[in-house]
Amino acid sequence: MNASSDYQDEQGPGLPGKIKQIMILGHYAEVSVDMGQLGTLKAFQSKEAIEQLRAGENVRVTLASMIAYPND
Amino acid sequence: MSVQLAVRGLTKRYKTGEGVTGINLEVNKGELVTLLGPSGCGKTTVLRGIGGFLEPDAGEILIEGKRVTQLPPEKRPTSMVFQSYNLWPHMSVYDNLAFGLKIRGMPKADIKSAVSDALRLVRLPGAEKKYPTQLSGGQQQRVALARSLLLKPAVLLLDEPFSALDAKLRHEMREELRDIQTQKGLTMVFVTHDQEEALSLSDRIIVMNHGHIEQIAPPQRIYNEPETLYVAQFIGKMNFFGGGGGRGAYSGRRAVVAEREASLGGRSRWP
Repeated sequence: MNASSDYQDEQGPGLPGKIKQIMILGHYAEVSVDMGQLGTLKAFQSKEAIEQLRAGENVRVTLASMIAYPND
Repeated sequence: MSVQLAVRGLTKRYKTGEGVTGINLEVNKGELVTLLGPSGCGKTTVLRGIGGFLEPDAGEILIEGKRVTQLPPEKRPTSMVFQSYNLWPHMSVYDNLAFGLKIRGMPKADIKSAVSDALRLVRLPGAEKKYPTQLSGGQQQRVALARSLLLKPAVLLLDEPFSALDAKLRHEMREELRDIQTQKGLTMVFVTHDQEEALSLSDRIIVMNHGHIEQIAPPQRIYNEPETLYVAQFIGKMNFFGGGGGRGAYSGRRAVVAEREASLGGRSRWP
C-alpha cells in the first residue's frame, strides 16, 4: 500500500508534520513528529541527516514502507 | 539440508489455562532457531517438551527422524543450558564437566582431554580446578555450555541462558555462542524474550503469542515483513495508524497501517 508515500500537495511530496523532539541514540536519532490528526510519528534517521533539524520545525514526512493489517 | 528436529502438533495445557496448542516446527541440521515471545507465551513449554522435561497432552517430537516423545530427558539426544547455570557448587569445574561423561563410561584419559578441549572452546582454558563460586556469572554459564557441548547433543536447547548476565557480557556471550555454533555445525533451539538477542543470533525466529506460533522466518523477514499485527508490535519500533472501516482496499474491515521507515526531508514552508 503506497497511497500515503505518494502523497503530494502544493507544498511538495510527503505529509506535513512538525518536529516535537529529537533524541540522539548513538549513531542515529529518533525524531518524534506531530502529524496532526494522524498523531505522533517516530522517524529514525542518521545523525548526519538530522543535523539541520530542530524541534518546532515544519517538515515533510515520506513513508517508505507500509504494511496494512486487519484489526478485527 | 536435513531436518534435525521436528515438532508436530505439540499441545500442553496447564491448569492455569496457559500452555501451547498445536505447535508445528522443524529445525534443520546446523541451524540456530530462536523461540521468541513475552513471558507466558509458551516458548519454554515448547523447549521443555523437546527436552523431555514435561509430558505433552498431544503431539510428537522427532529428533534425527526418530520419535523421542516417550523418552525421559536422559535418554534423548538433547542437552539443556539453563538460565541459572545449574552447576554443582561442591564440585570443581572438571568434575562438573566430567560427570556426564563418566556416567557414559568414557575412559578417564579421554574425559580429561575432552574436558580440556571443551574449556578451550568456551574460552576458559585451565579452569578445571576452580569451583563455581570462584567464577563470575558469565564464566559459570560458559562452564554450563561446555558441559552441554561435551554430551554432543543432536539438538542443544538453551533456555534464556544469558538473561542473568549484564548487557555487555550478554553481547559477548551471544557472539561466542554463535561462533561455537557455526564452528561445530551445531543444531540449537534458543529461548529468549529479548528481541535484539533473537534478531542478532538466529538463522530463523519463531515468534510466539499466547501458546501459538505467529510467524516463523529469518530475522530480516521478521523485521521487514511481520506477518501479523502482533509481530509488528513486538519486533522493533514501528509507527501504527488506525484506519476507519469501509475504506478502499480494506473492504469494510478496520485496519492498522504499520510503518517501519519514515524519512524526513523537503523542508516545508507551510505555517
